[in-house]
Amino acid sequence: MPPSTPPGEFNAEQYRELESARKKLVTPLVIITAVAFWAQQIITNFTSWMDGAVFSGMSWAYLYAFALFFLVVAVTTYYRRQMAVIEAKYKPSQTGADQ
Amino acid sequence: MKISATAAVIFLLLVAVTLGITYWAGKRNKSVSSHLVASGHISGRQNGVAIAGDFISAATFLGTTGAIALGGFNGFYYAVYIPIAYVLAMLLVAEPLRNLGQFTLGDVLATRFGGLNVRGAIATSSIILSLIYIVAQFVGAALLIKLLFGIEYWVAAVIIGVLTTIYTLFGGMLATTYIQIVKTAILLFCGAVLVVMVLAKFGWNPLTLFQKAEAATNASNAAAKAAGKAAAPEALEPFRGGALKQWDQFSLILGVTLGVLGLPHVMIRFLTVRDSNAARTSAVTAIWIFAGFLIFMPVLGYGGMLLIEKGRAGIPPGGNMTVPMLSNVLGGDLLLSFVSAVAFATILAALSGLVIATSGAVAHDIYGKLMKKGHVDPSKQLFVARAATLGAVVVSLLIALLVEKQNVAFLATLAITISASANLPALLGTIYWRKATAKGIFWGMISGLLVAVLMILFSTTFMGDNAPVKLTAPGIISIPAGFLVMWLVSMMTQPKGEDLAAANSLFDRIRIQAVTGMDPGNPDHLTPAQRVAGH
Repeated sequence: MPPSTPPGEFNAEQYRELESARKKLVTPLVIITAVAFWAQQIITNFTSWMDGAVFSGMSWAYLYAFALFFLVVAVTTYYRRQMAVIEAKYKPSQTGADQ
Repeated sequence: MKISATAAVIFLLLVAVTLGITYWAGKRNKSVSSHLVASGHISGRQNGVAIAGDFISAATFLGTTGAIALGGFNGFYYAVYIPIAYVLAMLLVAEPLRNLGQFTLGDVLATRFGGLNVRGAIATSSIILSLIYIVAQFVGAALLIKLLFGIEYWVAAVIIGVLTTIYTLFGGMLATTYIQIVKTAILLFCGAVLVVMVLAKFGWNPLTLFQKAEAATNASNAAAKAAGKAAAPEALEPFRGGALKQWDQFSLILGVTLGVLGLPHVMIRFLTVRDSNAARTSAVTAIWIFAGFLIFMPVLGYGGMLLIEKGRAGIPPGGNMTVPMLSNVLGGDLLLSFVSAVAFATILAALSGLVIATSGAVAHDIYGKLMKKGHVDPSKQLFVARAATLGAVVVSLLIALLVEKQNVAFLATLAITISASANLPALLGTIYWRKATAKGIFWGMISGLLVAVLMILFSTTFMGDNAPVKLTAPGIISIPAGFLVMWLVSMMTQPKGEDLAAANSLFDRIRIQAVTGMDPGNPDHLTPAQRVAGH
């Protein structure tokens, strides 16, 4: 197993900041998405909390399920925008092989 | 239901278009790289459309609509999980996979665990689950084509097999991707036409449709109750058929949601783009298509329930015929023919992606890395990839012909559960967990695979009511088993001293490569696009 060598022109401090920024962005989004989805699965599948109508033609269960579709669009839009900001801020210096 | 000459014309037109794409792609398909991952030349947007196409299969378009028509709200579970699964894939797997991988999932594991066992295990798991998936698709497809076109099962299976072979053998991943893109565009158009036509019948108001669906199920349930019969699922509320069914439903959704993150034919699509930014664009595009398309599935499901003659009672068991029957009601023979041809194209495109994923694991992981230890003649490897392509189709076709009369609905569940139980722990452990060891990854995969297969074999699916395992979807047990064994064996085999320092150093290096696409330990490192293009 070869030990790692210093990363050439790569700025190690910059990388650590980049990974930290990514982690701060990705972790809450994974938690929000997973919790929202599995809560829907558990609540609708194992309890009667979502039985009944919000108004005529729309049940609470459907309202929650439709909300998940809007959630995924919001999460992807936010993630994409924030990643563009992060990548612009922490762009690593180019090595020879990249040029 | 048999369809007319119109269907034959539309069907032949669609086949001609796909063969034209294959001819064009065939002239460019000259290397292993182009055969397996289109040389990384697919754009992010194009790849996103292809990814969406892979998952909006006949099972989704026809099956989910039917499940909603017959099962009410519970059928919608099969639509909701898809965009969620892809959001998790985008956040956790897509970009690291692009930055670490070359042709297969095995490449990702091999960046950290150089031994052959780990690569061999994920290649074996990928081949097994892809073949199971192909057989499931083959049988479902042949039955559907038999039903739609009124031809013999074996004729349908052979036509599907021959066309899939032509697309994949000559056109490789490039043809497979463009056929998938064309199919997705036509399928979305077809879905939009049907949604508009259904809504037109209900005053352009989805709520009116939902109200009428609810009224219809309430009325039929009142009649059933009066006759002393069991009530059917209501249209708008969850149906809970007892503790076992609820756990089975939960286990199924757990398996299919997490399974997406380890499915080889889905994940290798992220290797067809040049960098992680394009991988992100692919995922976002696919998720938006899923969200925009699948949210309308209840409109089609309830449209079918209300507009097809005799309602739910008029839809054959399984519900797959809901969309074709609805098309016939709304647009007569022309629309039915169009929908049938689109369903056929959908099946062919999905099968082609699966065949390419299988041939990649055989030619790159098994032949190139395990048998030839990486010293492989590219032309011989391309030959092996093509032979594996042919082999995957022939083996699946033969199995499909043998099991025509068997109920093979469990196969798709088994395949995706193997993905969640064996491949996913290995991928996440490799990319994110510092303490993961090669033995932990290996035994985690083997355990996940075995538990999933054994649970299915000892379930009611195979052994009837007296089966020791009552769940038909093993995910709720097999997925934690895969993760638990990976954790346990990794903790028992932790390196010490210099080995520990080397393992930590390598993990740091892998993390940098996973995040940036640059390998700091290799002075001659290449970006993902250069790695693929240079092969």
